[in-house]
Amino acid sequence: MRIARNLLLFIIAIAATLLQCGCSRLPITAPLPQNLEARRLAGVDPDTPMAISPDGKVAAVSSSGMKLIHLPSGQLLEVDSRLPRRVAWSPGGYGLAASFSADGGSSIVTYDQYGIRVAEERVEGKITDLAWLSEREILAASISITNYKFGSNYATRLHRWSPGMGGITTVDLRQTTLQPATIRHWLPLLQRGPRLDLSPDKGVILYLQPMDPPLFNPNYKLILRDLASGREMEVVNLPWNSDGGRFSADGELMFHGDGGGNTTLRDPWSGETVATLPGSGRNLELSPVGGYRFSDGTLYRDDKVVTELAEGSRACFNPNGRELLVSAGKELYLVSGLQPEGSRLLTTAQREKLLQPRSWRIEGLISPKEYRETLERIKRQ
Amino acid sequence: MKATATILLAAAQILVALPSLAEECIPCHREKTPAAVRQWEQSAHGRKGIGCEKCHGSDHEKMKKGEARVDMKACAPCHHKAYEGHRKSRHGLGLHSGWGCTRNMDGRSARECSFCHDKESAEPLSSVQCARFLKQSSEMGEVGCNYCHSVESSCASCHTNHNTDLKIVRDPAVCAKCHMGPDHPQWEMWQTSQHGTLHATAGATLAPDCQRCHMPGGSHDVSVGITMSSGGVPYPPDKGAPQREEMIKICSQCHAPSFAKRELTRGDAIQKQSLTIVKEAESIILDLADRSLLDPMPENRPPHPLSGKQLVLDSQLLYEDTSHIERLLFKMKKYDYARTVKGAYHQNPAYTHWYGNAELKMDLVDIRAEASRLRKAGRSGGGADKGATGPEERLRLLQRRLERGGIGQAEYEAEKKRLLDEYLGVKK
Repeated sequence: MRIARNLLLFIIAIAATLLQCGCSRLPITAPLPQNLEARRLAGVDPDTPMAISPDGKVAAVSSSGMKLIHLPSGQLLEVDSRLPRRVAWSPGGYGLAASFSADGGSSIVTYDQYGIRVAEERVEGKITDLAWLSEREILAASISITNYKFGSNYATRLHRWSPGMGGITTVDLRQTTLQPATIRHWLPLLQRGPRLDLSPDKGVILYLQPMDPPLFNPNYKLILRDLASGREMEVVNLPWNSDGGRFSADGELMFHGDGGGNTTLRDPWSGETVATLPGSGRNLELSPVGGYRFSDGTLYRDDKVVTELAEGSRACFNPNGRELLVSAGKELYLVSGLQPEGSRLLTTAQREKLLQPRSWRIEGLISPKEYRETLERIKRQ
Repeated sequence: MKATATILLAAAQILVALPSLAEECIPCHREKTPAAVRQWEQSAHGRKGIGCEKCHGSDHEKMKKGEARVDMKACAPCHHKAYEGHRKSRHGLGLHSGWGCTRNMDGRSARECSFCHDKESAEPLSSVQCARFLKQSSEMGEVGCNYCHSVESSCASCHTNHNTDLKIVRDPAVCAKCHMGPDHPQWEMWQTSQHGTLHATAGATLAPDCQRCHMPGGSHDVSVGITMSSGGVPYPPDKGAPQREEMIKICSQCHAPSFAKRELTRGDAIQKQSLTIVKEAESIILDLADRSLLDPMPENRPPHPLSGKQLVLDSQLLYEDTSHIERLLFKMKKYDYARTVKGAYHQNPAYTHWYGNAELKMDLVDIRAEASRLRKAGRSGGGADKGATGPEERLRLLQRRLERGGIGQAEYEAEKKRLLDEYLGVKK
């Protein structure tokens, strides 16, 4: 009797433990709330990069090579046998860029919309970020770490390349000396690179600059950089495990995690905190209009949790605003059924008119108040 | 017997009066440094039996290494009044304007350190540094700067090393070593003025020389009666007025006080007029710098030794590694302004007008012309920072003006608002 009772208690304990683990997050194929639906698309490499074409129909991923997936049908097309580190579609969807590791450095390759290789160029260091500035120009960030006895030189660089129009031009973003202990403990985080994000108007980038002063804890500065002038403005100091910042869809706000349990919504042009939201801010993605936010496996609508998917999963919003491409482990899913978002975006003319005031703000030529007033006046025009 | 006693007494007097004959230094140094020994023997020091060790000490090894300099601290215990007068005068500040720390500069002689530091002391004797000195080689710094500026700590700078004959330092020629040339030719000004002409023809009893006016009564305070800084900036009234009274007293030894006052007041007016011309030139250059039109701009040339990549137009202005227009300002300020003003105070018409005022005004013509050329080149260059025609460049220009105090905060805000209105197409 006593043995039976002990066995029952043991079974209950095991069941409770399993329930705790299993129920904290829904399996991605389980029924999802709010009319969301998940469909498995393909097997992918762990940590696959993801990018969906502007028409919302084709995704580029890493799946034992670089493949294009036709999202409606799930059909796969191999475009490169190498494993891509980063992928990015051009704004019009006529070009695709991917970065690969190559002989101690990296290469950037461009393809046309059908996956036909167009051009390739080598870059020193490891490409960590990739984006298109226009239909003809690519922006990439890279890191190089050189070890010395006294520490390591951590160099971040910015590359611009117009495929078929000449070679790559490179500028140094930062050169930082890191102490040996910092490199020893934090190398995986550092290899993520500057976590660059390009503003929607393509005029400004956000990136992380590591700081490792001898008597203080290592930390990051989140920097705004005007691409045209190269001038920079420091926004905020972030902890070492922060995952960088992301611009909102109109570039007027930014999100960044604190490395713990909170995401901060901040005005990048004044540095002021607008709101504190739940979510770690790691693997952060924002929907095209900005109503949805995905972070570390959790999908939010504004500041409310919509659903929790597999922990550690990463996502990419479809530019159509209705779908979410999710990679969880070695599987790729398409979550559909996102609610339409009303447009809160600036018009193209307004965005262009704002380019200069943003550049002036970064240079400190106008105050945050003057920037805000100028924005409001542009919106009214 | 009487004759023998006289001879013995004379010999004893000679032995007492010339103890050097008994010293160890003389036999050797009569061969090694004969001029020094001869000068000392004929000097008041020699006559009064002040031996080598009194000034040089007795550590021969230190002397051989050049570490036993005889500076004014060696002279001060006996010549205290002169030492005190010198210390409070502009001569006592000679090093402060003519030296600078060279420890981080390439190719400098290690013995330069002893010029500003006591042995094994990191504490500098002077805290002010000179950018023009820091641009020089070790050798040029020594000969071209310190042969004059060593006057701060070395009595020998005027008195010479071993010959202490007062005839030397009472001759105005002793001042000429430093107070001549293009920057402050007071010696030539005096020499070719009526004071100098009278001195040369009628003699020192009928005409004043440098020492009579600037070292009255044998004072070592050479700054008595001076009413402006060494950079030519007039003293404020509370500091200048007592000095002026002192100078009028000095002039009144020969002239009616009203005459002296009138002459010096004319000098003041000329100084004020000349300073206005210099200020106009400075404002032209500041405006060009605001617009990034200097060629080259400070950020594109070797850093200023004291201010780095900043524009420097004050007394630390350089004549090298600078733009052409700044080099013109250097000539204007350091040579022509100084000659005009000092020429007026020394009553020398040629220096006041032709070597001074005329050059000063021609400098302004050159500076205006160069500014015009730079503005035209800026407009045609089309660079982002040139000409300040777009809103961004104009905002930058406004910010630079605010930072250097060219405009106030209210004017800055108002002008910025006007520019933003213009950018947004708001019509007034």
